[in-house]
Amino acid sequence: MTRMIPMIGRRLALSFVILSLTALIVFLGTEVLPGDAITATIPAEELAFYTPQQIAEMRHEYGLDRPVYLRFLEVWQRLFSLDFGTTIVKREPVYDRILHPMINSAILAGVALAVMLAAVIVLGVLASLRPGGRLDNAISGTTLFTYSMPDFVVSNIFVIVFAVWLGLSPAVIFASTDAPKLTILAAAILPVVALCVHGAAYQFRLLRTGMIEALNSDYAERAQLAGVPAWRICIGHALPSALIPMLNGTAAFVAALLSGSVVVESVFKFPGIGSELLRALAQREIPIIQAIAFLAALAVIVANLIADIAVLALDPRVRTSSRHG
Amino acid sequence: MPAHPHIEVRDLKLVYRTGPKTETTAIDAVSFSIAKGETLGIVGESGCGKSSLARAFLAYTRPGARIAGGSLSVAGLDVLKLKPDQLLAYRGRRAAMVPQNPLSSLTPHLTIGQHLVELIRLHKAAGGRTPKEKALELLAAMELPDPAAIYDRYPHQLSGGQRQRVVIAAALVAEPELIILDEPTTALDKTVESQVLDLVARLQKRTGTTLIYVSHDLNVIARMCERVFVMKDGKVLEDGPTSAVFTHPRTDYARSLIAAIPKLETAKPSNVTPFHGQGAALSIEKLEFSYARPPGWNPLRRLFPNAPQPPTLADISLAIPPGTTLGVVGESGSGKSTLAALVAGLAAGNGGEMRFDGQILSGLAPQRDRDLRRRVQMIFQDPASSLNPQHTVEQLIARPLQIFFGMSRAAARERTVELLTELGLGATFLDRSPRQLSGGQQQRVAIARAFAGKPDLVLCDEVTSALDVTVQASVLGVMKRLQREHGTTYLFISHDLPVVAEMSDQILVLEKGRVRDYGDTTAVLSDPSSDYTKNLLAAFATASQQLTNRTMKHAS
Amino acid sequence: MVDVLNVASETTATPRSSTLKRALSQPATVFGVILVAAHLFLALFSPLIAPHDSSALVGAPLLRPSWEFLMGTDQIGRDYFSRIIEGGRIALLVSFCGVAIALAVGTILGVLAGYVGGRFDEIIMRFVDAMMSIPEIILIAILTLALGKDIWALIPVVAAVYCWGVVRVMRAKTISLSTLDFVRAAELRGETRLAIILREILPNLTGLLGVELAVRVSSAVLRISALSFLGLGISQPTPDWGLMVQEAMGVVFTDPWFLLLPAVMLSTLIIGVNFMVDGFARAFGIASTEL
Repeated sequence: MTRMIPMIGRRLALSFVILSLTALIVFLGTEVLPGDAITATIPAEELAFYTPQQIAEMRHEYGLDRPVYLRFLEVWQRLFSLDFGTTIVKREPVYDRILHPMINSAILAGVALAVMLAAVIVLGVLASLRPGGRLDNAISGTTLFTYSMPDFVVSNIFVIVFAVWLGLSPAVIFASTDAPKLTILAAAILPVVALCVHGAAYQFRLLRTGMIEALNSDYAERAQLAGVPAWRICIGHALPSALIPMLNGTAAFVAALLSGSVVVESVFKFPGIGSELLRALAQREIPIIQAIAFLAALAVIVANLIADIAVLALDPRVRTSSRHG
Repeated sequence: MPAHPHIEVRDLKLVYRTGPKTETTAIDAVSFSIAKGETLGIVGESGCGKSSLARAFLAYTRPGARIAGGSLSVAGLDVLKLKPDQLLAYRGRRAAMVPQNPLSSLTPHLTIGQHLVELIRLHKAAGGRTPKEKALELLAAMELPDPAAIYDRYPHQLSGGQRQRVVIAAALVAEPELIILDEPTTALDKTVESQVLDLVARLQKRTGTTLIYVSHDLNVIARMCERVFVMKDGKVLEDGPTSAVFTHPRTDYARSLIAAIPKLETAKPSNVTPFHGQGAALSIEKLEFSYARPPGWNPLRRLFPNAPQPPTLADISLAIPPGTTLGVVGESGSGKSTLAALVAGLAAGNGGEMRFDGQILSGLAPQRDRDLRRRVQMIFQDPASSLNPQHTVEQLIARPLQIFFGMSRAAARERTVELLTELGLGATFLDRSPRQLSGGQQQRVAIARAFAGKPDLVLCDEVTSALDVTVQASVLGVMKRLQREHGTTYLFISHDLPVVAEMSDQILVLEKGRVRDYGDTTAVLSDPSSDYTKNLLAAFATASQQLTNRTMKHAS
Repeated sequence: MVDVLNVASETTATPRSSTLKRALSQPATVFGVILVAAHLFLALFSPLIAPHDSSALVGAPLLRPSWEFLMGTDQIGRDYFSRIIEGGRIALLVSFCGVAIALAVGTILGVLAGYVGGRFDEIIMRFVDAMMSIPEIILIAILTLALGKDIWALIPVVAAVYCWGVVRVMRAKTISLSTLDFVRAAELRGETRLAIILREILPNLTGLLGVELAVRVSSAVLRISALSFLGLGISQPTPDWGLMVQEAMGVVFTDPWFLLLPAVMLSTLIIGVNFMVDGFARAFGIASTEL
């Protein structure tokens, strides 16, 4: 067990480095590429009204006239201390603006993640029991179909089907941003299903491939020759090995999940961070965009870290080998 | 044959799918009977159907294969007709299998204890004790030291021999009446194999179980089995008592198979005495190598460093006279492949000196002089991975011709055909891709490629270990002929002592990176100076000695 | 010891051309190829086939299908048929160019990182990890902020998003190839690293490249459609399926076809690519671990 500490320590340090790199990229993208925050936020027509001196003053106020690396250091330090500054247009603290949407989206993503993992594991195991068989073809075919449907289309179809035709729920649950969390949860049901329909397909294929490989392995054959029943081989012998490639794809998976939730939130008018992002983009609110980008990356990196630790737990070879990491 | 044979096979036929509409026959309507307590060996080269037959005894077919006819009865019960739940009661309980590769046959995330307890519970074999107690008992019966510690370990933490004993223990959980062993010792070192085979023999004598032993290694079969089948192309060509079949095979195939086995008694008589220094094609002085990697620039690795590793090679000194063969023998982890890599220039040593024809062999190949590179070539173990699948045979052999001699395409092609002919292949092989060749053909292409540069020293790293015995014999023959015709020096590495003995004028025995014995082949083999070599010799000798014993027994 | 066997008669494996046949023998694969071919045809030739200019107002809004307007007109009076068949062009064009750039850059970086290793590898991989930690939409958002929204700006955006996945995949494959003996044999001959990469490694990557191209282009088309839907990608009056879905939101209860048709077009493209890639990858033995 103690051998794990250097490995975990290395991963934590690595995550920190990666997060800093991400902050750098976000910074470069928003503050260094053509035009800076001032010219980006304030449209050209308005800008014309300011005298050069006033613009220079504003630049100075925002610290935009300092050298790039100094600015980055300041941004980096602020991001890591979770002090996101104030918005440009309304001058309100970014933190207050995004707190509730952030929590709402976290609920949405969290529930979606849990549901997706459960669905993927169940479907993956069922499909791999008899590869090429009817159940496998049915599930694989369906997931292929749902994966091919654009997520915004699926969401819209859901709205049409559930809200309009079946009248199961109001067209959109209008939850305001700081509604009680249970309302948020109720509002999250449809978006979660919409997310799962599209997002689960990719993980399903990874798990199915992993399961088939594990079931074709020598150790699965030995167990079968020794008279171990099929279900036990599936769950006890094959599944833990099969989960590893799926877990290794977690970073990409969570990033895609967050990406997808922006679309889904937009369609369902869910009061989450996605809607906030779109608004900030329309208004060119750099501080908000930076904050959201940083937090999203943080979520992905943390998820990846957890997945790495899960792999360590599942694969004793990684745990006891000093060569890995 | 007793009135009620234990196992009765009638017209068994097994096919497997090779394409959407095509099938190939793996077992071709075989029939035979086996008595209770008999020890039967099934011998054959790759593709003969022995593995399929072994699994058929457990009514199991690999994915893509199916039983196309016939019956297989164990104690009167046709196991091929069993329903799924009946199969669960049969497998592991009345018949069990010990598979080939113990590392990949054990589930990596389950402890040894979990493996055994699962089976003990399934087959209700605890017999009054707790499952854990029964498991520990089994481990102890396998003569494993410290069963309690092994109980909690994972498969990759055990040595090859220990893993195989665990797999055998798992097969014995329910005390089955039939045990099938599919090449169980192929992946093990020779000395370990000896011990495992002794264990299996003892267990069989004690319990009177019917034993079916599948292998390509005739020596092992000779040692373990009273009766033997020789299989080829799904048919049983020979069936009889082991000594009879080995001394008087009836078919040509069996004859050639037996003749192809390298035997220690036919060790190459050498006519050179080892001398160090002048005139040696390759001489090495106190070579050292270890894999340890300094943390270097990466601050993360400095903060959280890996554990240090022991040196892989230490204090290696040798000298090969030109035109002769030095055989390097060692088991896994001895460092023999590392030695080849160092001489070839694929890795750089940490100390010591290597000289070839008087010139110093510096570290890595790109740093060496081109002519030197040309003169030192290497042939690898797995021909499938040493030939680029995207290149044709012509491209593979022409490349060194272009690099070392600057030949034009036309000239290179002519020379390639010459080389291919020398190796028993023809111009028709020019535009084939490696995937279209058999193992033996691939290895010949690899040899042709190595000889294209007219090298003076060829390093052979387990070049025939992946080949069938008859193919191995022909490839070794080709290599000897090339040496006679071109005066090439060989550094011949293998774990297989009889093969090395047959090929080499001098032998060097490596253990854990150190030289244990070094000298003339006949001298080292008849009077080894180290205990390690003595044990190695004993392990190999026992195997072929059994063959000789049976031969003599039959003759007398 | 004499050559015992007739070497030339030893068994040989299946030749190359039959794997192609095997791939095409599966009905699903053929179906996929047909769909993809149809979409490529539309992408290339639709402006020639379209009866009307897809961006122009040619009639009254929401007309029923007629001989003049094969699928009627849309909400503001443009010929719907023309818009539907042209709706994938820009997205496919941008995706194809962007992914091609991503493949080129990604393969170079990935192969170098995988084969050269060391310091270079570590730095590149950390950068790749950082880039891949940012969810696509946010990355695209930041880049469109900086680079603008016109079509030619979208190409580098697509490239910047997909480059990193390609680096990972190519690096992994290169590393597994580097351990094979034919690379060691080339090193033994003293070939330069560049020569080894070009002669030994790259030819073994072509299968993977094909799979990556197909899969990522289809993924990119989906992304761009989603962006257009959100108002971030292709904008009016250019026809784009994603944009058309967004336009359909207003009339979805009365005329659901405006939503379904572009959706079907998108779906058939993706399904076609997936079936095709699945079939070919399986026949050629390439494992596509990423979609």
